[in-house]
Amino acid sequence: MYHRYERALNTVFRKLGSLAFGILILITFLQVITRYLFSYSFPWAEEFLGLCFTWMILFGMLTGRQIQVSLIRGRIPEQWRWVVSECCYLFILAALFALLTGALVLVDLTKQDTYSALPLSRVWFAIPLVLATVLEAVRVIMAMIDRHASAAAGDL
Amino acid sequence: MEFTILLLTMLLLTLAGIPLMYSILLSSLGTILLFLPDVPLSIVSQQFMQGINSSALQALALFFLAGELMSMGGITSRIIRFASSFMGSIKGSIAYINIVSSMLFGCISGSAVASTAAIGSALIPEMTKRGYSRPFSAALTQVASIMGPIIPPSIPMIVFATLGGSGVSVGAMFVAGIVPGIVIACALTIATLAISLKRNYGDEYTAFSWKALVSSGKDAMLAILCPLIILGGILSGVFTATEAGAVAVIYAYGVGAFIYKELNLSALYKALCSSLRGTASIMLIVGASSIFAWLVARLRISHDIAEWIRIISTNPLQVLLVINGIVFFTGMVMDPIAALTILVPVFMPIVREFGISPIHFGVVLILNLMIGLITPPVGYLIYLSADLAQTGAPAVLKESIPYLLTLLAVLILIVLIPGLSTGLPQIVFPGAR
Repeated sequence: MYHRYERALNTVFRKLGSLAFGILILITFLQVITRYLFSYSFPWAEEFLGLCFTWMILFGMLTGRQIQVSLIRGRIPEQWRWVVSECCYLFILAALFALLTGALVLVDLTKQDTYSALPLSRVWFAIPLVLATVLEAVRVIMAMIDRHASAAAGDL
Repeated sequence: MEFTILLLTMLLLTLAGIPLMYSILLSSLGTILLFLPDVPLSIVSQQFMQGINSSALQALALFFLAGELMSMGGITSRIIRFASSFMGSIKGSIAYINIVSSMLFGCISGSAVASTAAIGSALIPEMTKRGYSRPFSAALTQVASIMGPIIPPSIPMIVFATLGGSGVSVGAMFVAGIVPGIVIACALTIATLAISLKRNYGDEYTAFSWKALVSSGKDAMLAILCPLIILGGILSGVFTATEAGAVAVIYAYGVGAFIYKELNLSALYKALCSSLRGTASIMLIVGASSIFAWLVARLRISHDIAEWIRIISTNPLQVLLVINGIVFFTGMVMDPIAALTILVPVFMPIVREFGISPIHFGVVLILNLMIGLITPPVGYLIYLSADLAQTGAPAVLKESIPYLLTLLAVLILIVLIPGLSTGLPQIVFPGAR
């Protein structure tokens, strides 16, 4: 169950993240071309690129392993390692919960604002954080429920 | 007190196996709850989003992808062939080819891990075939690869310039890495020569041929031109560092797909995905660290550390040596980017207060952290190179000791002679210091 969910999450957000990345490359490159060939810059580019980059990072969060240095857990006897893993999961959930509550406050604060050059609400800047923290929290909970939680813990 | 709790919690959570992003977030959260109870916890998300929404750091993703495309597009084999064509006639050439190839690869990728993987998988088997021991081959490869993040373009230097605040530009940091990178290459060459003479390494060599040099040079030229376009574009003001990254991506794909004919759309997608994962893992730490940086400023931690350092000395050089010691040990236990995001906000105000050049500090800091990549207990590159050489990590570490001492000597040289890092930026950017 956990692995199926993780695979689906990876596939969907790898594609979406790559799309955001592709758009970022193209617009940044086009900016150079239009500036030198036509003396024209897209006024909305900076805000839009910032949005693309934020989406790309938060989608990237759902696609793979994060940097970790597991020096202690690897040395704990196998029969006790699951306890440390479960604690790690709970800590991660606490961090995600804090991020989520803050993200909801951000959504509330930005829902009336629009970007200065981009005809878009600023709420789109905060929405991916809500999405990413919720989906990541579901992943952690599923890993905890899963029979192989202790083995999967190393993948977080 | 606050700083001790913050650091200890972070270290404990990290060593327990919690991903760095979460351990930084949790320790910052705990510190806010304990020492700043009036601050709303939503500050954590606000700072996190502010940290990842940096236009300068978009360059990081773009250089990541450019390096990825270059290595997938067949550049590694061309660089090695080019280096072999002008060094192959030297006795024990393969070891020097390893150093030169790592240096040239560093001009393209900016990542030590990518350099070890690319150069190591091609050259370690060749070195062992020519009589070099497996641990020695792995040790040389991992040590040489740390030139990648020193020679421009460099991912840690982009992060440093972004976190460093005013007066530190990505362009200036890129230029600052050139001379130290060359010094490291020379020092490693001398160390390799000494080891090779002592062990009588390197019997096989090939005759020098102008024809081979011209042919391999022509083949590798398009790839070697890439860093020149990047640096030339930034220094001449044609484009910003981020735009240089986008140009590098388009150039790398163009060369790999249409000239070398080794890249296609599926390779592009693979490179995009791999860079997406790499960038996200770094940027999430940067985002989490911006809360840490906010706490450092709010709790006046830098001010307290500066007071403590002032008791020891007020001489800028001695202060830099003290900071150097702290950074060195941090580099041994922490990932370089995570260490950068934590150390820069703490030490940058101190560096400025004591009149040390931020560019000089940046080069010293990054070199320290790169040495941390090849020292235990973390030392990612030891395990990676040992794996590539199919040998044990302790044997690789033992063979790395002469090189580690060489790098420490270079580090001391760079600390003592600021001109090595600041000289070139001062010529290119007259306002830089």
